[in-house]
Amino acid sequence: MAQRGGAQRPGNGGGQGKICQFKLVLLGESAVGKSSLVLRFVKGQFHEYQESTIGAAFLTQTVCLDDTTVKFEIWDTAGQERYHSLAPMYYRGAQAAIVVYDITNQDTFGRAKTWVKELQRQASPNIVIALAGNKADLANKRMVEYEEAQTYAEENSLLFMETSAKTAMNVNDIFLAIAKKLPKSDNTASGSPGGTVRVEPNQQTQGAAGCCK
Amino acid sequence: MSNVDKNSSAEGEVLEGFICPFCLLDLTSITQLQAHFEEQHASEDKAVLQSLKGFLNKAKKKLLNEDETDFSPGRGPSTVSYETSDYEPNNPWNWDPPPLGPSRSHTSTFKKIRSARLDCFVAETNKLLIRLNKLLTDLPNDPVKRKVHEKSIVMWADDKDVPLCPFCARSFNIARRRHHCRLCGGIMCDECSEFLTFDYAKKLVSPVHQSHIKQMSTLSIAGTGSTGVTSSGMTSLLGGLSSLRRSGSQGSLNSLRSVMDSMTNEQHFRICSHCMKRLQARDNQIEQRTFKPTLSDYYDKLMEYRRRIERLLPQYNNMAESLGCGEPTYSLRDAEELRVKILKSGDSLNSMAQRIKILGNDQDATDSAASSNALSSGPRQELLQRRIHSTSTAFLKEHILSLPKLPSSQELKDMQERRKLETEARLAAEKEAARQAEEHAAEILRKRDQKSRETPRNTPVRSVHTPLSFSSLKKKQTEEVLVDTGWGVDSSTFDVSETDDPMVQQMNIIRNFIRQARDASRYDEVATLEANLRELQEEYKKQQRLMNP
Repeated sequence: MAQRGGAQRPGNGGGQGKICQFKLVLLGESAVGKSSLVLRFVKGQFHEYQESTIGAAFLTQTVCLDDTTVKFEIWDTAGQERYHSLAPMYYRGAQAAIVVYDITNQDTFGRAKTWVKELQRQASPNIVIALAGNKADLANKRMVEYEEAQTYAEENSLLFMETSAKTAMNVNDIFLAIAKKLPKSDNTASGSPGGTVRVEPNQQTQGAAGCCK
Repeated sequence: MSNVDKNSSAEGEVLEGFICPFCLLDLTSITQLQAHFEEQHASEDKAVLQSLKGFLNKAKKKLLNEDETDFSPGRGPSTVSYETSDYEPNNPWNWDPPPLGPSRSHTSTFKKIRSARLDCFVAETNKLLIRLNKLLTDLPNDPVKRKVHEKSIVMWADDKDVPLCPFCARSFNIARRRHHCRLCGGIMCDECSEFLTFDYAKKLVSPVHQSHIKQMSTLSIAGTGSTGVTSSGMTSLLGGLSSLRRSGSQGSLNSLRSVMDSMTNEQHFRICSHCMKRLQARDNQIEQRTFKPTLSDYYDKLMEYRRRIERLLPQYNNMAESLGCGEPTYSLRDAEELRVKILKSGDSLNSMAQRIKILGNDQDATDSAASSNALSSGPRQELLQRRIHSTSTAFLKEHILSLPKLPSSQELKDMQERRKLETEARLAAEKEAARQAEEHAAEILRKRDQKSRETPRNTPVRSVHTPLSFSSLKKKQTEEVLVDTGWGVDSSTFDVSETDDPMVQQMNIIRNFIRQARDASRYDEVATLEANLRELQEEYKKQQRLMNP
């Protein structure tokens, strides 16, 4: 979190101002903390009583990685069963997905596995999938062992982290890990309408309002 | 050896340039002079040579310093020590100008006199403030107790000692009674009393002196009636104690006021005008310290407009460029809207710059702050104002006047049509090329197969493109920065009517998101969301067709 509010203008000082845009989708059982995770990442906020998402919410956040600026277009889908039919619309063109489960609830882990299976079958073949065991702050009520999830993630070559939207633990890290794993060579970030890599004209900062000499 | 006589320099003419001190030959550069000297006069005078070297070094340093200011920190200490060791102050080559004779600063004397006076003043004011603080803490509501409390903090002057009001010099009698200043204990008549409201008093003693200038209005000056007394009388009534109204004859107006006072809980200290002046002077001083000149206010606004323009411009340029190429990413309406926004901000910026320029020139400005500010504005401030204006004008010229034009909707349509055709043609061409290449490859393969069926096929090693092993990168990289420009829709601000079809519901949600994104000027997001809406609509149509063919 200490990194927040850093460089305001990406690609200005670094020389190459490469901007990549990626579509990322969050999937998982309802009430595992998908919206909280995104809200923490995008706005740095946490609400104890987060309302349940209707349909799919949309958020964006930009991260700087070396000389590239990675912009995430995040689709935070509703976990409720009745919105399940919408999910394919959002993971179809996505370059990355975070499948979230609740470490205090074994059922949500099972549901997460189903999501991973569905993604592997139906999403784009190069999709980067991350598994997030959320609510790590409630470790005393843990029902899903870290090793169990870790092994599963390794078997399916997923990124894996235990996160906590409440304490912000690993929240930025998991997004950054995804950003690192995503291919950033030109023209790979297609799929979304604005997905082409745009090289920002290297705008010089102008001397702020002339000072007296 | 040069043959110019040394005496020629005594003729009074001043020679300039890189002149050799021995042969007075003009050598065009430092390096040449140095080389010449070392070559020709090396044996002649070691001391002069040394000093010349020092001089040249110093001159070089000066020249370099003018060119690159960043040079000095990088200079090693060796150069410095070289100079100091070879440089006596009496050296004729010394570069520094001679001192201008004795000078003396009178600032310290002035400060001493001034601080002595100020100290006296400040000490007195502080005494008043300390007393005021004591008065305010644990102040009893009951008038009798309150009086005791007040007397315990400040010694009240004896009534006998003061035959006349020290402010208006009139004698005291039944109608004109003696009153005590709660801060200094002095005596004055009712008309000469000032009233310090509790609110104002609290503001004065509060450690963080909030500069709410407007609070000045709560100060009641020179009471028209004996409000202080009546209010205390009123509180006693309210407290259910025996009536102690000393000025009950003062009429209904006063009692009304006192009722209002007690209702708003606004009470006063009676103090003399002398103490009041002291307190007000301090208050004014602090306010002045925190006072922000109008110019700075204006400048803040100006910079806000400027930042807004700077924020919107890249977005707009992006959109204009994209539209100019006939890309369907952004909608023309959004771009136009953004253009209007930028132009409006430019307008505001311009008018603000104008206001800054004429600030202080219009002496008849109704704004009292502006005119008081104008008094202090010297030529430097005028210069500053002019510069702010000219910088802003330059900024506007550069950015607003050169704002790229948007294509008209007809042009855009044409362009998009053309682009579509072009892409189709290109796609077709690519497909054709791919097909041909495939055929070609197949041909070659077939031929090769036929030619050498038994030789093991030499398959070229496919260069596996490893997408940079990111795991090998250092775990913690300092470059990773979360750019704080995250944006998200606010789902709580709207109610979505629960429809049977989540698809329909989602379309409504997305429409709402688009509105939000537009309000926030996030046009990239608008584009993404609109794309999603189209996708949803198509999907929905497909569903409908499947369900009722």
